[in-house]
Amino acid sequence: MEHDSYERRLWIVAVGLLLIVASWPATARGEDRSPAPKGVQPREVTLENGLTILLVERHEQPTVACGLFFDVGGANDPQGKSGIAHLFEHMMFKGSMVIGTSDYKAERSYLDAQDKLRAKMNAEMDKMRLMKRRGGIDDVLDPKQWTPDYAAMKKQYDELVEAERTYIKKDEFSSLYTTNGGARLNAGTMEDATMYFVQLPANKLELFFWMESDRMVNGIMREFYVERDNVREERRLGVESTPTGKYNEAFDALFWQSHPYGVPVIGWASEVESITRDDVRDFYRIYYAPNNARMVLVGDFDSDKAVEMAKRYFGRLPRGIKEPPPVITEEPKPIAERRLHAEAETNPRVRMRYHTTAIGHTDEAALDVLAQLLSGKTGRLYKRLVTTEDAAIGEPRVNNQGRKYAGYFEVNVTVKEDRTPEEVEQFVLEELDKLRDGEITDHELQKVKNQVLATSVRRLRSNLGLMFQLGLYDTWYDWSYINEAPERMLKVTADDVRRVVKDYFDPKTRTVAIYRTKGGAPTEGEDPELAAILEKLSPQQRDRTKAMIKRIRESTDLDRLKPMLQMMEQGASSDQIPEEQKMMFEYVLKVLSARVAELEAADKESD
Amino acid sequence: MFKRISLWVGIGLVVCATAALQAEGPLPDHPKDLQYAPLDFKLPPASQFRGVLSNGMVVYVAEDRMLPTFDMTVTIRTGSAVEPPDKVGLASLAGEQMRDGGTKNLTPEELDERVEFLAASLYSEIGRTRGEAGLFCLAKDINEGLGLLIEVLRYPRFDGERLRMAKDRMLQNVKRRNDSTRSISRIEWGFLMDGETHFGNRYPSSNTIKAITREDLFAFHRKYVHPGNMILAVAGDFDRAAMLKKLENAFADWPTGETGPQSFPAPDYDPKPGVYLVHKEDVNQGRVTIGHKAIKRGSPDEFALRVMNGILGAAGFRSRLVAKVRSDEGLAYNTGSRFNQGIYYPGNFQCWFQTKSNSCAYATNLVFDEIKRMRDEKVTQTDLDDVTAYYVESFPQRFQTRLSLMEAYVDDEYTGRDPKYWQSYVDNLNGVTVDEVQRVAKKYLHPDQLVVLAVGDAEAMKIGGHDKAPKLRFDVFGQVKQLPLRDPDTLKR
Repeated sequence: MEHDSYERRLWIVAVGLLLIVASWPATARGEDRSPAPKGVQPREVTLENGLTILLVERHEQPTVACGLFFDVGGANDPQGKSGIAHLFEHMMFKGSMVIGTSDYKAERSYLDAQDKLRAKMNAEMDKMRLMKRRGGIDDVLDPKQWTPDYAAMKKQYDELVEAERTYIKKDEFSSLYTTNGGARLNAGTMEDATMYFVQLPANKLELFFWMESDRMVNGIMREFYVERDNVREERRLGVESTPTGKYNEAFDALFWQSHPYGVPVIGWASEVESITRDDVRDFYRIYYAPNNARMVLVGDFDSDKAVEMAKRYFGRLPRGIKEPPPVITEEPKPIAERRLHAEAETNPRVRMRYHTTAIGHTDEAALDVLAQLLSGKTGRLYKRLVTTEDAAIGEPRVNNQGRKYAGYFEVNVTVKEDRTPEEVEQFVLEELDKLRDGEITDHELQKVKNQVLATSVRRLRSNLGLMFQLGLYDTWYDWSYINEAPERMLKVTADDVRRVVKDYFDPKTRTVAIYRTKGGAPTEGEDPELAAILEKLSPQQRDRTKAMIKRIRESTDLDRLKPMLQMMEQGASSDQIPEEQKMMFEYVLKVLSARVAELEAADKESD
Repeated sequence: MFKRISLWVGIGLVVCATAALQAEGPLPDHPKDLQYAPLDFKLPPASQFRGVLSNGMVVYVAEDRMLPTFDMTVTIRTGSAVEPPDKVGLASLAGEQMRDGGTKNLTPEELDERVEFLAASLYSEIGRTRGEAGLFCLAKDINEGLGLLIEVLRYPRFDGERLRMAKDRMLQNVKRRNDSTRSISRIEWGFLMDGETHFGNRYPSSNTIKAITREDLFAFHRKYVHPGNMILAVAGDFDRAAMLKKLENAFADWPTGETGPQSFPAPDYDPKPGVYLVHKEDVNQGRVTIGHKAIKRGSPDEFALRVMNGILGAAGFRSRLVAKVRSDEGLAYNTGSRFNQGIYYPGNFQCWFQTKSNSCAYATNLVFDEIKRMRDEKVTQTDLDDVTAYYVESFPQRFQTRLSLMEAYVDDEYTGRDPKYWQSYVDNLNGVTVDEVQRVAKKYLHPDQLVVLAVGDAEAMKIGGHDKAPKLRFDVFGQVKQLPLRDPDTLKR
């Protein structure tokens, strides 16, 4: 299933929505929480086993967007088992004791035999890992390097899987949905949520209750190791074989020192490869329980009937075997700036991140407004970096992401190839400084607020979109966030913004990633002599040198260039230039003296 | 130890819960036993929304009162297909700069400011065979938003500085075409199918970008952007009659020019079957595409082909490639097939997957087998029923908003498809039989003509060594040819 990161924040506004979303009459339902009559107002019902149900009726289209959200994600992966939440999400599509099998009892004997054999294979795999540590082999997944025992057991295992297939109804779970008009059937695992969703024709809502109540309790980890291989391919596809995937992962790991957010949701390769069927069974019993889930329905249905069905299908599911443990690890306050220098096949880029707050924190709204002030074509960063400095391409991406347990503020800029990421970083810092003490106009703030309002209305257009927002917000905070967050943003003042810049943008707490183009982007019309010199330098020195030469050539300020020339000439005669930089130094000196001579000649002419 | 115990406790609970679910109440044992009420769904026909302004401009207008919003999409009869070959990139720049380069009355910065202050979105772009501009705004801002969109369409400024910045960005980005296997594969596949000279395979290079001037943009715009060349899709919170009047007034005094291209030339190229490898450093997964030429849209076999391809690889987990390559073998996260019935000329048939280097040849073999099986064996009635249902049952969900329905009708008008196409869509699918699926598979799938493109670590892909077929190599699928990476800018080797 696809792995959604949901980086973008979804804003919903209260104003004007009374007409849009059905507001529930305050009937005397014991289990209903009476919502304040404004904004998006889902009907909320909680079953005795703890399952929360959120319902929004909208009858424009004959469909229902259905979602089930579990309060578990990558951040809950146990030590040494990263990727388990995500891998488990895949397993939920593999059927149950009822779905996906023609004879569960018969199939079961093969599953047991597989488990027994797999335990032996795992032990042998441990031996191969030891061999790898000692240098005997270099890849435990390469069939040519397997021990004879492991190869024999793998063959035997494949035969058991083959035999089990007689009883497997291939992908019956997905087929039951899709042959009944289930569209957009998929799931997603994030750091703090795992969601399962489908959009059904309005007359087939009961199918959702049947299927989801069944897989919440009767799931069996059928075809487990094959699916684990698919997840491994998903990791190769999304991370390892992309130009920047590995660096992005390294950046996350650098930013989060202790918090599990530093571990990729898809898991580290070596750990994903070793998760076992036993591991996920324990995980299932704790986290996939009604008390750790909420269901959200948005669309064309009758909510009284839906609540009745929910009670019939889900009411009798037991609570989990124990309460899911909370994530307690906190990120310590960083004590020094961290930097990552990546050389990758990509445009030069700078990413700057600061630690901010968890979702719903009192400072979040001001940080969100700050992000908006910096975003867009009329935002401060585009104006400075693109229009004024001509140092970046495209719109800078700015984002304050408050997750369930902690959050960050990120600026991400694609740099023009004749400029350096460090220069751009400097410009961004200067813009942040201006916000720390300088003026923030009413017009700017009003624009942000207009956008908050419009974006919110726009995002209510799809049933699926509203369903996602309610489900995720309720998992991370409370569904009411959908109304509260924009309300809070509308109240933010210029002083609030200045204060959060002061409080959160401390250089010590920042993590910066500098991406340089691997091999250096060739500059058009470059002097071959310079090209030869640049080749010998580190990527960082290369960029700095190019930038310096560009600045010298563009400068018209003799008062600055002349003292610089003087200093460089003194330096050249002092023998203090490291050997490997001598050629570069001399080249820059040559450019500088040529530019000074050129400007002096021009001065003379104009005299 | 703890693990063992919790496992047994877990299984105990499962058994209890299963029993509880089955023993109590009238819940069906299997979802197949669920009874559903019929769904009353009728797609409103195109004629209900179509209108023609007095200047001949066709509009599709629908009220959509759910939210206080307004959307308009303008489809423009043009495309990069008609730009001169020494100025490749012109259409795309003209499209983008209509919006980005400001208007006669507004500098680019003033236009940006107005659009962002209204929290609207306004865009324009030109692709290979069509241009498009669009507006979203709140219903209260309809007049101003519409005014801005028309100004962008009619009086672009093509600001020189914005154009320079856009060209700089393009010049930088043409160098990045070899960064990912995805990009390399997409470009190379186009060349392998349609040849290097077809307009669909023309890409801007630094030379053609530099040759484009501001005057070229004006000339391109003058020639193609006028009411005679536009079709509108409009939906939102308004009164339809009033909106038609508003559009009439807004476009009335804008004279039309000559009609843009109605069709686009087919490639003059026959793909050469065989295996093509492109080496890419530092990746541990190969990206494999397998296929050949398909056909043009409008064939009487269109629906049989759709179902056939659904069974092969386009109906999600219900299709054979996903079942085999992903679900049975654990070889790829993403696999499937497409049988593209081209609008103007034959599209192509392709199957794809991405798998670790040493599995590439093995997975290719599985795909070849499935293609052959489509021809050699009749599909089962269940295969047919499930895949037909996959398309038919989700049909009401195809047009989730009034805007998406209007856009579908505009698309039909633009490409000359029968406006009743969607009305008979479901019946046509339901009419497909098992025999027909096999007949079209035999007629349109050609295992002897397959082209295989694999981009990744060429050496590792060549060696193969999957544990189930350690000796299988790519050469069993045809002559293996390793292609050098192209120069990313010129795309020459």
